[in-house]
Amino acid sequence: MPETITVDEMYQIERLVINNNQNGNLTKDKFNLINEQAQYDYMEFLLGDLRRYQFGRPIPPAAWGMTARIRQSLTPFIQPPTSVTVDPATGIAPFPPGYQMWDAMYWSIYRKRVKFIQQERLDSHLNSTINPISRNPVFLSIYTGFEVYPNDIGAIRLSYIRNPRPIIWGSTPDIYGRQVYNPALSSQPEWFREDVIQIMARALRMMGVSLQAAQVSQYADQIKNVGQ
Amino acid sequence: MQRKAFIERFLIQIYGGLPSDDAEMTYDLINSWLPDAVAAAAKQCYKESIQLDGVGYVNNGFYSTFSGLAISADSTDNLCWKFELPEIPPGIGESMGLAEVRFYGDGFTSFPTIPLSVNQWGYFDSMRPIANKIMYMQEGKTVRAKTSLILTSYTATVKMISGGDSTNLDSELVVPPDYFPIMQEYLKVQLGFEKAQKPDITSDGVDMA
Repeated sequence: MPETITVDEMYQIERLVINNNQNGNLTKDKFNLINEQAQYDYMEFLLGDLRRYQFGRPIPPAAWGMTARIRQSLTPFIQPPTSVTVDPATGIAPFPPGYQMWDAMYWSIYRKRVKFIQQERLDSHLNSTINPISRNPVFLSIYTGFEVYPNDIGAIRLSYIRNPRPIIWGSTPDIYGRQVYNPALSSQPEWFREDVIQIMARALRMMGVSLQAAQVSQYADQIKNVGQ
Repeated sequence: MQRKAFIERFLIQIYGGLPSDDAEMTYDLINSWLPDAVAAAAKQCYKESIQLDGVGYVNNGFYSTFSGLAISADSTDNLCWKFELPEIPPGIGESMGLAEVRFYGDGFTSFPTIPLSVNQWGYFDSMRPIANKIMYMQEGKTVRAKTSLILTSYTATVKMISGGDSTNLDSELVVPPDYFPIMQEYLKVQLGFEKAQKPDITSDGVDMA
C-alpha cells in the first residue's frame, strides 16, 4: 500500500488553511464536493492536460507514460491486463467498469499489441497488404468502448486506468450537534501522500475562488507551481 | 541468424531501443524490405568477386534449395512444362539468381537441367534435340522446361538466391553474416527515409505529408 494520508488529515489541513485566513468554515459537503473535483483535475493533469497542448505538437509538459514518476503516481489506478470480449458482429469491446483511460491492449497468447489508430487511418490499416489486419490488429476509441479490427479477434486484454475512489469525509454529530469524523462513513484517498498534497492544493485553489480569497488562491498556486 | 532476430535488431537500432506500441514499423514491413536488401547484398558479392577474383559469382551462402514445386503443362509452347518459383530471384548475371533446376520423381532426382536465355529459347526450338537433356528458361516467377517427358508426375527442385523462407519469421535468414552490414545500410537508408517523413496528423482533406 502506498503511504498516504487519511481523509480526516486532508480535512484538517484544508480547514486550517482556510480558518487561518479567516475565510469562513469548510463544511463537510463543500470539502467532499471540491476534493472530488480536485482529484479528477489532478488526474487529468497526469494523463496529459489538453489545455497544455501546443499547435502542431500535441504533447503536454506532463503526460501519462512520459516519466516513471508520473506513472508511479497513477499506479494505484492501473489495472493489470484484463480480458475483455469483443463482439464479433460489431468489433466493439465495452469499457470495463470504472474505466478512465487505456494503457495498453494486447491479443493472442503472446500478448501482441493492438495498436491505437485514429479513424482517418482505418482504411489504410484494413486494406494493407504488407501489414495484414489479421496479424496487425488495431482499435479505435469510441463513445461506448473500443472498436477492434479485425472484428472477430475474440478477446483482448486491456490494461487501463480506473477512476479513483471518491474522497469522502464522513461524520456523525456529537451530543452538541458538532460533526465528528467517522472513518466508517468515510472514503479514503488512494493516492500517494505527495499526490494528495497536489490534490489539496487544487481544492484550495477552487475554494479560494469560491470564497473570493486571493491569499488562499495564491497559497495554492504557490504549492502547485513552485513546490512548497 | 533468425529472420525475426535480424528484424528485431534493426528495429532496436532505428527506434533507439525496443519499439513502443505506437511504432509504425512492423516486423511485416521490414520483412517486406528484406528481399531488396538480400538482393543488394548478393549483387555486392557478385561485384566484389569480379573485382577481387576476376570471375563473377555469388557466394554459396546466399543460396537456398526449394523442393516439391508442382509442375503443370505449359499451353504457350509445344512439349513444354512450367512451375512457379517461391519468389523472383535477384537478376544477377544471366542466371546467377536461379542457379540450378532438377526434377524429382519415383525416388530419383534428375541431372541438373540446362538454362537458356530468352533468345536461346527460340533458337533451341529449331535445333535437333539434345539427348537426355532438359532445357529451361526462367521468366519472372515462372520456369518453363522443354522435354518430351511428361513432367507433371514430377516435382521441381531449385537452388536460388532468396534469403530463405520469407513467410516464416522463425526461419534462418540465408545470407552470409559478412553481408549483414550491407543489408543494414540499405535498410537504414530506406526506412530512415520513411522515419524522416512528417506524418499528416490532421484529417482535413489536405494532403500535408
